[in-house]
Amino acid sequence: MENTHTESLVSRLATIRDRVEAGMDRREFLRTLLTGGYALGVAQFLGVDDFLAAGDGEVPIVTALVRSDPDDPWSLEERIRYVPAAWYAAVEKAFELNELLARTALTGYLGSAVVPGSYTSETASVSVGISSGLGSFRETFDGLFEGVSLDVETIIDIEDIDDEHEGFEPRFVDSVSSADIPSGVACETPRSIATLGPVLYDPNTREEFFVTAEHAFEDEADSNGDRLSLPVEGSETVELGPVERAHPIEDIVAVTPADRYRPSNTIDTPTPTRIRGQFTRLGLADLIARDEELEKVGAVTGHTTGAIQGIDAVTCFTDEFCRRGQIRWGGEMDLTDGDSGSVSYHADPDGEEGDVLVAGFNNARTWWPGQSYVWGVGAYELTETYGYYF
Amino acid sequence: MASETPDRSSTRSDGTTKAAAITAVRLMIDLVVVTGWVVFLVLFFLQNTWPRWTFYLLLIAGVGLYVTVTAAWRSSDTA
Repeated sequence: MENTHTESLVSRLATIRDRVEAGMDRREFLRTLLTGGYALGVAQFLGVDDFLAAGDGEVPIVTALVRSDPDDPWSLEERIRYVPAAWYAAVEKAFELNELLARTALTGYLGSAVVPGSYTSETASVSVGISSGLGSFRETFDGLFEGVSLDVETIIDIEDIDDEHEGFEPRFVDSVSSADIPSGVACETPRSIATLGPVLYDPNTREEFFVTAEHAFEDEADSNGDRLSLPVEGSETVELGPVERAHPIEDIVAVTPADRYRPSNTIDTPTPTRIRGQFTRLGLADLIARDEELEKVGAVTGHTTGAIQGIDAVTCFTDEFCRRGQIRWGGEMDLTDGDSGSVSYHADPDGEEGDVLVAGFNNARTWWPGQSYVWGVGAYELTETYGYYF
Repeated sequence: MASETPDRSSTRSDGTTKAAAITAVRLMIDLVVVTGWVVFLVLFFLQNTWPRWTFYLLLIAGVGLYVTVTAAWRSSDTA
């Protein structure tokens, strides 16, 4: 008994000594640690936690670009949300179909928009506007993408409503004692009144701009000489700065702040509102799926809210070109002359009290029997095209 | 490792240079193989919704297996 016990002990000691003498295990152990650590590092770099956290049948989507430090405009991080894979697939298909429609641009095509369904429905549709008498349109495109339905609206008559005045008084800024000018108050171009947007950042040049609608300027805004100014309640109008860049298709102008006044990321609302970032295209799709509404503060109609009617919209109603990446939301009552240049926004669910994320710009409104909405370029489209962000 | 035992037929500095070169090459191979393994696992897990712990288990087990197997080869090569 004692003998066998000693023997086993001796043999065990011998094996350990063999291993130590070989010097192999420690070396290989170290190597395993090093390569294992490297492997974990690579996995983290590839962002595996994002999709490993997803439940069965879910995929992660980036819903927003948000400043992690509210005081540092250049600190952007992505917001991620897990959504049903089937819903995501339907929405992506709808984006593709919409892109195909816009690229084909058949005669009679006036525009289209993607309308994601709810998460439980796991569907999406594309709403298409065509001029009357095109019965073959539906046959050409319907059923092209499985799971995406096509809603064809025949547009009989488009009224130009830009010249209507409804007797609202624009809201002027109370005082300019602070150098930071909030968004949502009236600003003035040589031709008309518009709404001042919040600060627009250009990460390429690290500049900050005042923004408003381009169509508020006569003909086309000119970066040689056109200036933007700010009417002040019961006081002299002050100058904000010269137009630096004009983008007629997106309908925005970027104005370089002159010496005294600076653009701000606050919106002129009764409760303090601070812009913390912006939604991505999929972030807007997520808002529609959850039936969330957008808000805006215009210089004329003030603060209004409304449901989102479509995203990734293409509109060819006006001018000779089509506008891409548009958002349709609210109704005709949510926008009037002088509100152009305001932004549509929605509360940041993960932010602090009063933090909001920008959805897009508000530039125009359209209505005809059955449809009525405000439209304007999405913030994500500005980021994709020029790199700007809110 | 046997590769690091001084080679009597050549000078000492030649031996260390060679050993260092071999170690560097082996390190590079290790990193390339491990990167490939991680990428493979990531692609696999993108297609399947397996729980998170299986990813890390397979990741570390794969690395451990690779080190053990190659260690055996290398010691038999240089023996």
